[in-house]
Amino acid sequence: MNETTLSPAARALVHAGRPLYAPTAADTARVHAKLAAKLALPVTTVLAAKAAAAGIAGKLAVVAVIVVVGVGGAGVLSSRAPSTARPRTQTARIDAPPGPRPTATLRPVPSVPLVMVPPARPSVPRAEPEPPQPSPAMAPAEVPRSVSLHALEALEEGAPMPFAATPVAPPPPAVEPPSDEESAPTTELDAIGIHEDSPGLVPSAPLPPIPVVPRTPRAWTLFGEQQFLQAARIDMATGHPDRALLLLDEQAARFPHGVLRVARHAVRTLVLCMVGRTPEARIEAAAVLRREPVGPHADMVRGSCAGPTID
Amino acid sequence: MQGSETVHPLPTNQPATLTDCAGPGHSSVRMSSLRYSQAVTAVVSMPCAAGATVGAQAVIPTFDAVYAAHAAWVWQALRRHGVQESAVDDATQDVFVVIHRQLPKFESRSRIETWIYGIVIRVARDHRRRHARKGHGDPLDESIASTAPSPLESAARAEAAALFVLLLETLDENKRDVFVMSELEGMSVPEMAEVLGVNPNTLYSRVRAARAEFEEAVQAWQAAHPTQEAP
Repeated sequence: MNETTLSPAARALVHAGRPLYAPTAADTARVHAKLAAKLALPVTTVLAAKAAAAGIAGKLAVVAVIVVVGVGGAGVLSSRAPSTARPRTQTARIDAPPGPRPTATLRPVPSVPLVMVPPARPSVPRAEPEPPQPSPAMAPAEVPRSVSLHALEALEEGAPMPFAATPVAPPPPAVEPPSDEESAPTTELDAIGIHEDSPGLVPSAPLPPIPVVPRTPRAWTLFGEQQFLQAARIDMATGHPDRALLLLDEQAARFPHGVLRVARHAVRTLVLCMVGRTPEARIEAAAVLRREPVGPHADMVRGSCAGPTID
Repeated sequence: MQGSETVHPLPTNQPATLTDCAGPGHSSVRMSSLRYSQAVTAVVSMPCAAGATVGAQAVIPTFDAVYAAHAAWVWQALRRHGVQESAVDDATQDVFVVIHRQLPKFESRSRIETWIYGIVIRVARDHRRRHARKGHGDPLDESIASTAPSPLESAARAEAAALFVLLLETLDENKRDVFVMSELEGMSVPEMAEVLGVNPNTLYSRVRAARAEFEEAVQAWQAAHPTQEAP
């Protein structure tokens, strides 16, 4: 097992990813309540009691699970704290925002904030550190962080992130500061260079202002790759394959060697199938299978219009 | 980061009259943990829950006892193996429905964690494939959505975690599974072989390939995104 060890940078990433996805006591209690109903388990409140004994439930605002098993079946009454009351003692546990999820009537608005600035563009001036909990509607000015894997290696030892305290020099005075419109994109589509008046990308309703949460542009470029994909998926799912293809083209142009290129080929396969461009879909599907002959992307393209002819 | 690796201690409010099942000659249910490796090494004497079957060779804990001891890491393992946040409730239920059905037949020839992990792997694969057929988004989308401004350090850790998930997504299904099991769950190749029913030599190769591919993704990311640190 140790003959091939990960590099320090990769180990640091693994270390950072390890705490992800830990459930809360409310999560496990909720599932247990559902199981109790499904399996007609005996009346029990033991899990809630156990969670309390473990000191977990004490951090919840309200967790009450009442399981009632009737003679003819089982019923479940469950009340739990709203998602905002989820315990946040695990620093790396990342919860989805409590807002509504995208629906078919909305333009794709990626949930992960995105800032992508062309490399040649000077950095946005650093603002004062934001207060701990500013209102999202009043998104603070960017606090650039330099996230590098070298810096991430410090996570291995639990050391403070060196880049967290690294001062970032203000932009050179000789450089003309970008205009307000350039330096402060108000929507994520603005941030990725796609404007609302772009052909085929006009939203059906005005977009609410979306604060751009501070991110280091280069460090988040990979997220940009992901966001294009996600937006294309939503367009595909909502019956807008042309817009999806535009987004995929743009993603390919921006990230020709991106790590998500297989996913891009897979999504493009499905979109091309939607619009009846089967020969092109086969080419895309073949690109997927060359890189990943098995796996979810391979399954995806095998189940598409290109599937019968690509194996 | 250590503080975030929550270990769920066993409940202490078990009735005092229950028999301690973790004695010599008995199998024991081990302490729940969010890491498989901790679950199997941090052996804790767990009282038999009411209704536990105490046979000559093995102790079969009750379903509730199994759930209390293992639900947390099962949930986390499902997510690590690519089950979407929106599906993890159902997937966890699926795992425990199987456990509920098969627990009376559990023969304690392997650790209960190993047995459960095998169920987790199968359920996760099933959910991933169903999800892929529906053409939904990547697992990353729902869970790595930290939009609220936060202290710089935790934000940086969240960014690193998010990047980890992105790069993990580049591995195919088989490599992802063994990578998660070896690097996140801390499982040995023999343990993985038992869970997956795959020849250990094959798994040694697969783990090497998974690590190499992950490294490749890391290097590609580094090449595409040079640091902004001062030289």
